[in-house]
Amino acid sequence: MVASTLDARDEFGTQKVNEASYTSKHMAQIFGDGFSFSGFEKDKIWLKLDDQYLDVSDVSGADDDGDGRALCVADFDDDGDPEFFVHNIQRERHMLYRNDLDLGARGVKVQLRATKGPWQAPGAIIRVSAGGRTTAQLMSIGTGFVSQNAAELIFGLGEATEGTVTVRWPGRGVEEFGAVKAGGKVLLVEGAGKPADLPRRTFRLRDPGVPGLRIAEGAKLPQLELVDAAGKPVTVAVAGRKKPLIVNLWATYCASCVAELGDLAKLAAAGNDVVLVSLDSREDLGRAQELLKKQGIMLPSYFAAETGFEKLLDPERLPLPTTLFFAPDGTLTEALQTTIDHWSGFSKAVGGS
Amino acid sequence: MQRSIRMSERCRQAAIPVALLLLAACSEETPPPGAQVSPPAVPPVAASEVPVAQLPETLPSIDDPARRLTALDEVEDYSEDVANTFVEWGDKIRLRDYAGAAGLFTPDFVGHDLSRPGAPQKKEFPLGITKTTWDTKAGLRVVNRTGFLEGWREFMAPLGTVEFFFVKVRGAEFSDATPVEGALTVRINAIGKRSGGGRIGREEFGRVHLKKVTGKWQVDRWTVTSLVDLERPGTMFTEVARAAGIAHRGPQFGKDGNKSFFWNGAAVADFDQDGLWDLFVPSQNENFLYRNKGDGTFAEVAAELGVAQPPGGTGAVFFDCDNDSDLDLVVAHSGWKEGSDTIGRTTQLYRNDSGKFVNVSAAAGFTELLQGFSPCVADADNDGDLDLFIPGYQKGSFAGPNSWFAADNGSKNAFYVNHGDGTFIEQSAAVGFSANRWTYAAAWHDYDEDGDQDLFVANDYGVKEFWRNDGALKFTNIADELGVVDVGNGMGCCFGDYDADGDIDLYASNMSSSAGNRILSRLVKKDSKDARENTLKKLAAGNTLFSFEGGKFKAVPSSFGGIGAAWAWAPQFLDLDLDGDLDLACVNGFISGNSLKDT
Repeated sequence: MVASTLDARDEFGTQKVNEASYTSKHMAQIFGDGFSFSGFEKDKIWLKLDDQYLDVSDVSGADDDGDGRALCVADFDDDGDPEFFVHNIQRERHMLYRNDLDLGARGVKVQLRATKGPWQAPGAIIRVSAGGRTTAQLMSIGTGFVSQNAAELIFGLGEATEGTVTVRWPGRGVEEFGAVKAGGKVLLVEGAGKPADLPRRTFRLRDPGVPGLRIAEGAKLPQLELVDAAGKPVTVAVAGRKKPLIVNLWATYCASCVAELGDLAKLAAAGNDVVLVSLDSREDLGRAQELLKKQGIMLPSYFAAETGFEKLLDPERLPLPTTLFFAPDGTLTEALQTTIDHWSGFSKAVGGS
Repeated sequence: MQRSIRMSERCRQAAIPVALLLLAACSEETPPPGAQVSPPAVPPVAASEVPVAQLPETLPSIDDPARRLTALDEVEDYSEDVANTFVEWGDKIRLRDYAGAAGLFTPDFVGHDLSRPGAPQKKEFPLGITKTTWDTKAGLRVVNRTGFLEGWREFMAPLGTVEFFFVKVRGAEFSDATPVEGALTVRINAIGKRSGGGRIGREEFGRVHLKKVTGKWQVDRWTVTSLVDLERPGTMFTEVARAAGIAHRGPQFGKDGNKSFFWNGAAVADFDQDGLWDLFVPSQNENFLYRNKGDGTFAEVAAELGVAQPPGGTGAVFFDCDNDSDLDLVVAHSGWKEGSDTIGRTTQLYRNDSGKFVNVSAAAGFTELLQGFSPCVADADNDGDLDLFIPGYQKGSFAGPNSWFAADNGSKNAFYVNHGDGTFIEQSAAVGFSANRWTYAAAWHDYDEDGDQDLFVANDYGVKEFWRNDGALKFTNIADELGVVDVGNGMGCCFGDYDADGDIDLYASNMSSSAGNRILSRLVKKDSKDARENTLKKLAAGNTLFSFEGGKFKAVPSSFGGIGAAWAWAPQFLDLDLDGDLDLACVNGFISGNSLKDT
């Protein structure tokens, strides 16, 4: 929106209100000091219906509140439906949204190759008619804001089994290409008059890891490096135990963490190995111990702050509570990111079996 | 996670004019109903319930002009203060700390019980989406503080995991008395995963009355004026950047290593022509080139292939600049002179030489410092090679606009005409493109289908341009004639057939800020006839969707939706559910600091 680099903020005090640069320099200071300005605004997705664009951002899973700038559309996994990439200005900067609707078979994908002008054919207008209506899309190189979409246009056909395709080549005329079947991926070569099938290389974009954890499920950890309430280093063995280990990540400022301490105590009382790891800062170690004492929680309790274990976490992204389940050989078998009563094995484990 | 920060006086002084003049929009939601609420008499069912009469039909508002605080800066100070109070309170609700949340309310508080809203009206939409609108005109119970917080517990219960909880103060007025009283309109948005799977977003509008007693805001009345849920089983999109190997964490904006508004672009192309879409992303220290491996992951090959340096590019485009059938890469940059120093750099061209990229910028003609942002490419002169338009934004590093809606002290828009061999000559002055607008984005489209490429240009702080291609590299700006002047803070644009009628429509993203809108609402009457005031209102209206009809573009009424995106940047059309209709996505937000508290 405004200034470019912020390096001149030291000159801040010399600016007058009416100088053109006043606003930019003040903003530089504001941001340097960590203030928000129209921050935490969620990205928007609108679903086109017959009579409106319905705001479906809240249920889209693609409504990140980072400060997005670029947005590029592409079928990265070649399964027929569009993914999109977002570039945020800070923190978690690269976001790749996998389309999980799995409706790719309802569309056709179109690529172009012009022969009487530049082969990429930017500016070509592609029209697909299906189910009694015609949708147009534009082949572009550079669109949106600092963004380039894939040179492959995806046309939904809805319930129709095929669509009829035409191309208006830039600077030239309209060429008819006939029908493309739903699920098709075709190359339209100028002058060919019919579509050529393109090979599919469909794969699955991998599932995300556990938010906030830098270790994946299935990875092995020999031990946890932690500190005790006095700040003294402690090593908790994870591998080579007789039983699975349950590690609960909590913090005094997390109300649902505090609320579930009783359930964790029940698990331990039923014979499970349960360890509490607080993510409170070093200054709050005493506060955390006090809270446990007040609630009569006698579980082994350690702290992650400024330890090796902390390096396995991304505190900004880790939802609390998170409970980690380790097999006796140290394998992380499950990461539960809600309260422990939602764990599928909870009733059984509390029952003592 | 959030540190609370009190804004310094001088920062506030800066923020107010900025917020005011960058203006503002809140076309994001339908305006909430007023404070007229008539809770019906319902037999008490809970100890926390109180007689309906204790919640007046109309909340105490600051209607009496003699009582109302009118000094704009003081009102805005209070507005910001209460907004920040609600941020802190919202954080407690997000963590389900209802005991902690009780501190905001007076002991004699009364308000509507959120756990038992009025009759639901359910509407089903495609993809299994359900919208439930609760009747807040009838059926709401009135409860005391304990009952109200119990109501919040119930309100949050459908969210198994709370991913987002935010309270926005959408309107506020204050009394000119001690203790100061306030009457607010608030919007609450709670989003997360449903306990039973899928996702849910809950949105409440309320009217809130509060007083500042011994330095602390205390709420004594809260009526609910609107309550809407959006739910869907299953997932639509999953964010997989980390699993795909393309995640990147950058420093917080404004801190060392991330002090620039640039380097936020991205370009998708199959640069190695193996049938899979790859991705180039400029960044502050080095650029990233992610080659799609076809197994669910990407390999970062920027250094290996020669495009990692120099860093700091803005927008980028892959295209075949030298007609040798492979994809070259142009990266726009920002650069300017400060005295004898050069800050930033010129446009970079990486020529694809058998799969490796060779930087040939200067030899190709890219020697001029620009404030370049969103490059776009077409064969503008129909001579068989691709030409390049690079929008230019401000001049130098700290220059401000000389007008909020017609600024003409921005920098040059560059137009590079291709010689056919991948060398270019800059011709913007010769063809008549603007040299002084604050341009962020543009897009080529032969709107009249006469065989040559026309150019739409989105300008910040100003009016938009539509350059009709008259052939022989002559262009005429016919934005007025086409109906796309669209005064506003233009940030981005895209073309697509939104109504599936076979022609290409236009979408323009326009920045807006809720703080600016809040201030604007106090300055400009809704039914103002004043042209200047109505220009201000247009600046606040946010994005614009244009329908192509009869050879011109016509703004689609905002009630159609798809408009309200707040501080909007890149928009794109995409048919995400493949039903034949083009859906819309638009990224949002200016700067999120280390506090949720906003200016």
